[in-house]
Parts: sequence; C-alpha cells; structure tokens
Amino acid sequence: MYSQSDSKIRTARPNKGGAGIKPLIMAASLAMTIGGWGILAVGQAGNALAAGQQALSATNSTSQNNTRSVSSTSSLSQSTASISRPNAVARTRSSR
Amino acid sequence: MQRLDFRAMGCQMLALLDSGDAEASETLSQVPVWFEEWEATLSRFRESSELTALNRSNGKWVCVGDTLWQVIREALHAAGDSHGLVTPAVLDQLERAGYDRTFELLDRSMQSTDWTSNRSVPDWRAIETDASEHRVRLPEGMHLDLGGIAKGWAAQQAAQRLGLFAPALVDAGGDIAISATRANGERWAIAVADPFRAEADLELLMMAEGGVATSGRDYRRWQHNGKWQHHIIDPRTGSPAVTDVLSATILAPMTTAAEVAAKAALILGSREGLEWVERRDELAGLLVLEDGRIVHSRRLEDYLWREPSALPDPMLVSWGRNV
Repeated sequence: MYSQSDSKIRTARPNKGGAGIKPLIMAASLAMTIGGWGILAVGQAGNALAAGQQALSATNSTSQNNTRSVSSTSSLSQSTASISRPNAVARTRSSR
Repeated sequence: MQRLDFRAMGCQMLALLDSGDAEASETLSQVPVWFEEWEATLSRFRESSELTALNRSNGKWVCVGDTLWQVIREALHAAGDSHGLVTPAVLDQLERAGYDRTFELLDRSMQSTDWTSNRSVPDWRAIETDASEHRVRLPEGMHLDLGGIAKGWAAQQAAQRLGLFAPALVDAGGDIAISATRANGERWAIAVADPFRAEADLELLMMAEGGVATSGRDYRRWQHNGKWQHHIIDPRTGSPAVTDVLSATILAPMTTAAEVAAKAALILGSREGLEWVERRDELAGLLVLEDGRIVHSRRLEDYLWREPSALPDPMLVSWGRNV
C-alpha cells in the first residue's frame, strides 16, 4: 500500500555535491577522533574509499577487518577532499 | 574510454566502449550503421520500412524480418506486463493528436487537431503472431507505433554487441543500456536530467549493468487550441495522458523494461505509478511532478551516489554502497 511516508519526497533542486566548509569539518572531526582513539575504522570499503586511502600515509596497520591506523591529519584532509562526486558519463532524460 | 556521438531515430545517441583496443574501435564505428538498419525497419515515418508495410496490410498475414519480429514480440510482452498501459496499437491516436510526422517537422502550434472524434485504442491482444514463420497479422483498422520500445531495444542490442569486446554503454536519446561494470570494476555514473532546467541534473545514479530510461512530457509536446499536448497516449482514453508526472526515470535489468515502466508510471500518475514500481522488485524509479516535487522508490537508494559520511564513527564508518 502506498503511503507518502514510504517514498522519498523532496523538491527539485540541483545536486551540487560537497564543497566549502564540509571538508574542514570532516578534517577537524577526524583529527579529534584520531587523537582520542588512534585508529580510524572503516566499514564497507568502496572505490572512493580505496581512492582516498591512496592519499593516506598509514604507517601502522592492524590485522582487524576494515581498520587502518593513520599517522597524518594533513593526509586525511587530502583524502577526504579527494573523495569527490564522479563525473557523469551519460544522462537520462526524455528523448530529444 | 572510446566515445561515439551521432544522431539516429530523431534523437542524440552516444556509445561508450571501455577499451582502447583497435578491434573494439572498429566495432564501435559500426554502431550508427546498426541504428540506421533498425530505423529503416522500425520507423513509422519511412515509406519503405517494414513497419509501414505491416501497417498497410489490411488484416492480412505478413512475413516479417528478425528485427521487426523481435521488437513486436517485445512490444507485446510489454503490453502484457503493463496490463495494456503501454501498447503499440496507438498509432491512430498519435496521428490524431498531431504526431503524424517526425518531431522535427511537427508544427508545435497546430490548431487543427479534432479531439472530439478520438477512437478508443484497439486491443493489443488481437494482434496475431506465428513464431514458426515469423508472421504477424494486425486486425483491420489497427496500426502500430513502436516508438515506445524501439530505442530501448536498440540500445540493448548495441550494448550487447559492443559488450563482447569490452564494457559498453549505449545511450539512445536518454534510454540507456549498460553491458557490464567498467573495466576498472567501477560502476557507470549516469545523471538524471532536471526536466525544469536544461543542463541541470537532479541525481547521479551509479549502475553496474542493466538499463535506465526516462519518459517525459517536457519535450515532445505541442499546442492544440492553446493547450499543451504530448506524445504519451493513455490507451484508456485514447488521448495524451492526463497526469501529475512530468517525467519518470526507471531502472531495470533490461532497458526495454525500464522504458515500458517509465511510460506506465507517467500514465498512472505519481501515486499509482510509484505503487506500481514498488510492487516490482526488479525496478527502481524517480518521478518528477509538475509542481516540482520529486518522489522516488525505496530501491532507488541502492543506486544514488551520495557523499561519504563526514563524521566517522570510530567503530564503524559506512561509506554507503554507491561509492
């Protein structure tokens, strides 16, 4: 049975992607996390995560699943900024 | 990545082949030739097409070639799946609505269409086929338009042929077929165009394979006595569908299925259309309504690109399935 609560509803607006203050917030949060815990844990790794981790200068790794240790917050800043919106290779729209 | 842009079937086409191989490149160059062959068979606008000959057969059995046979079978399958909402037997209604020539030649401000004499759409189940000899018989007075399925079918065919060489994507006027994940294992990024604003996009889909199609009344439309009409006939009324949906984008395992579902959802309207998509596990969709609202099915979340979470949980960070 259809109900509006089951579907996702919003108003048409452009999907602009991330920019500006977000990378700074992400870097600050990660810096606090690393200072307190010393380990960055990651969940289901996708391609963007793999691309981001190339920018990390990890010096210690553990044998636990999906965990990495990170030594440099500046590298983290680079990694979060490098996970960017992919460019579309095609566009679906009504025929023209 | 090799790329080929061209026009066919009255639309802009794109073929992508994720390979630098010379043999693959040679095959890619053949895509426009394939589309021309298919259009020569399937176009209702060409005097010499097999479809035109079938439409003039006046109730007689006609032997048809492989291409027309396959597409008619797909169209009948689509009509069955959609409970007659998407039927090929709408040519007369399309022409009465004014769509009696290619869209480029259409007089968008025509005044002369007579709406009072619309006939009901003939029952597609009256079409007879003979698989042993590839024969088709249309009841007298029934004429077919395959525009609701032909582009999706063609995109699928081309992607399958190209896919023998390398991962391929074929975009036939916005109906897109993908043969496999890209050579590097990543999904293809497909933008969903905003029907309200040229060159703006609503969402980014990440697709490994299958099809996506958009049906809309935002472009192929014209005026009749000051009122906008469009090309998607509601077979229940014999007239262009009256609906709150401006465009419907559907993902499916096959592009033809996506194309049919997009039309069905548009005809049904946002409430019934979304319910129709939700009931089918193999579909995911997004509807843009004429008031600017966007609704999408739950399963579309599996395909939407989203930025990775900004605040990592030290125990577990979920980057989502789309990146």
